Amino acid sequence: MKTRRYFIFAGLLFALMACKKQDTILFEGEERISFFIGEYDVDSTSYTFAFDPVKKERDTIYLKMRIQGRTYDRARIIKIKPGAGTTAVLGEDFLFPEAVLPADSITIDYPVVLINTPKMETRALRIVAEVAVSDDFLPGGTGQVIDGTKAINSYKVWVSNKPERPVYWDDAEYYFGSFSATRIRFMISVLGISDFSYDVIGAYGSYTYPVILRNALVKYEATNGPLIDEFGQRVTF
Amino acid sequence: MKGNRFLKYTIGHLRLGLIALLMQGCSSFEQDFSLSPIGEVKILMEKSEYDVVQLEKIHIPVTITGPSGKTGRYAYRWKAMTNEAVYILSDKKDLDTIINLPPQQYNIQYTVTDLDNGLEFNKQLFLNVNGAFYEGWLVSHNQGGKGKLTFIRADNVVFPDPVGQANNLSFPENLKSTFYTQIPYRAKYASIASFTGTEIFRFDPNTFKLTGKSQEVFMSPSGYDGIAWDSGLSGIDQYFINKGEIHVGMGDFYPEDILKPYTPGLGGDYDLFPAVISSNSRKTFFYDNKYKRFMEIPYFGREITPAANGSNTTLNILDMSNVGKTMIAAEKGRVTSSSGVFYCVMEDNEGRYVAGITNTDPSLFQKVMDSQCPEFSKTKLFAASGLFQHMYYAVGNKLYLYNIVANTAELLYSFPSSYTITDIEINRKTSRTLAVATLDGTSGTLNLFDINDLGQFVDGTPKKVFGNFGHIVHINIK
Repeated sequence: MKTRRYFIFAGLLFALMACKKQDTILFEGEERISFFIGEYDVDSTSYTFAFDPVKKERDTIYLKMRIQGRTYDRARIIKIKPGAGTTAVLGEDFLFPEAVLPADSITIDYPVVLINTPKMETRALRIVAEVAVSDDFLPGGTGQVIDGTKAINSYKVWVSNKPERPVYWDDAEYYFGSFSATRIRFMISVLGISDFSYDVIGAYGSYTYPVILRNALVKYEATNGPLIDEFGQRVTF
Repeated sequence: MKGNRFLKYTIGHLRLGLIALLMQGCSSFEQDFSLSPIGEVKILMEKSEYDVVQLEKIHIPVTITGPSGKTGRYAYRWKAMTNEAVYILSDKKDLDTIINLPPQQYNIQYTVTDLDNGLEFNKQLFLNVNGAFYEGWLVSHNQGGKGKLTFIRADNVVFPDPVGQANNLSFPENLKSTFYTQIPYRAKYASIASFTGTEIFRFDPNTFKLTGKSQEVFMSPSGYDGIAWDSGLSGIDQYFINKGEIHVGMGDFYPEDILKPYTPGLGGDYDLFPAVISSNSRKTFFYDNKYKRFMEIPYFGREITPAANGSNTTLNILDMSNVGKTMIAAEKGRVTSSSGVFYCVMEDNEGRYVAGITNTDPSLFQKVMDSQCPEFSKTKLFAASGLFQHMYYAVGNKLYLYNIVANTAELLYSFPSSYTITDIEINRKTSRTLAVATLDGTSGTLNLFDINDLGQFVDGTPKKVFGNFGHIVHINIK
């Protein structure tokens, strides 16, 4: 009989345990924000004022940022500061404006204002953008998330006024040939655009612009002779 | 001891339970396999596939046969389906409605629901919704210095001036040609393009609404002459030849770019004959009458180069890179999705020749003698069959059938001596109809000849004759 009681007692005990309220894990912690990049993207980019069809005094590039934590029904302040290794001068060569994350937002494109200064004609300056502490955010955690994107807390921008090979040229080379400053300047002068990335010109531009450039080059060469680039190579399309 | 007793009780109870389960398992299970009819409804229609012209009424009568002796209470539903959408057409027994669906083929599901027992019975069929201008001949003709485009539909209904009706537009000068431009399997992006000497007018092929003029079609328009249009065999690129220059448009891989302007002329030292020789799926041939050789462009290519001189096997037939003759005509013969044959009429001081280009190589080269093929050397009007190794050619008022294999020709038909044949075109879809345009003074006529299994004209006369045209300068088929 005692054994049966033990079984009944044990059964009641299990039943009581089963009825125990489960704790739901909710986010608790500081509000944070970080830059984020695609799975195969690198944590840096380059920009040059050299290829703009019309000379620019300033330009703006945008860095993608994403919060880590809850959304709020109020706007929140984001601050970015120059990180270690920055060779450009804040306020002189570039600006990190205080940005506002709108209410209920998760991501924002943070604007980095680049200023065209004479020293950029001779050397590329490095800007390291780092997430700074603001009233609303701390720097976020880093690493890859489920969707493949990566959270980082510093992003490097190389800025110059020298004709440098754009990062997208690996893809553009198939359509427009190997990079040279002479080639891209000719392309800009004919087409009136300076960004030849596939994202901007699409398949149509990739297949059509080379014909326009080739015809324009025929006219150019009729007057000026072959167009030779800075590597001593004849430019063709 | 107490433990043993508990074990003994437990085993005893388990034995009892097992015996009870066995007894339950052995009991008979009352099953009823008797059948009773559920009242199947039979649905009968005349055909399993119907054609209708958009915005016109369709009537599909249905015969419903219920179980014997039963007057059923039924509900009906006509449903048209595509991969993208479902349309409810009617809830009546017979389909008797105006079809305002977009032109394409639909799967129709006809459902009869027996209201007494809730059972549904279905019948599947196809419905082809054609635009009002679904298929037919595009006839470009001129009168008094003004061009007009007439559409003769496949069912012989004539639309004398669909461009004028749709756009309140008349061509300001003579037409040179009109093309139906459709990349294979991309009917959604097809168009109709009419050329005058200075302008192109592009129309929606289903409505004839104007969709663009020169600036929307060519980047740097500068007048039109010697025009040819076709896509490559694989549809990856489109080619427009104009004034001896080649322009390339986007194709099947980028359908959203198909209607964007063609490239400027690709440039180079050549003078192309107006023919797109799409005999191969990886590259397309052209012919340069300046240096008298074939040229080629690979798919996705935007440069034109002299064609390779072929293999040793084919060099003794023809050196495509050095032909040395002037092209007079290039006509598409039998074509599959991966290769095709083109018959090229050429001439030099010695006379005329026919060359065959099959896939990437020459397959035929023979001199054509007027003694065997009357007046062959006097014309530029040719049309090749897609079924037989035949070409039709027209000289003055006469129509001949040229048998390519036999290298001989026979007279098929003579119009009255006052008539002059101005263009001929074969229906590429069937190769069973030849359209022949004639001019008598200032009055044009379009004659449709049916073609029999020997390539000759059925009954030796035109099957249909359409009058009231001006000078017909070009026939094309949509």
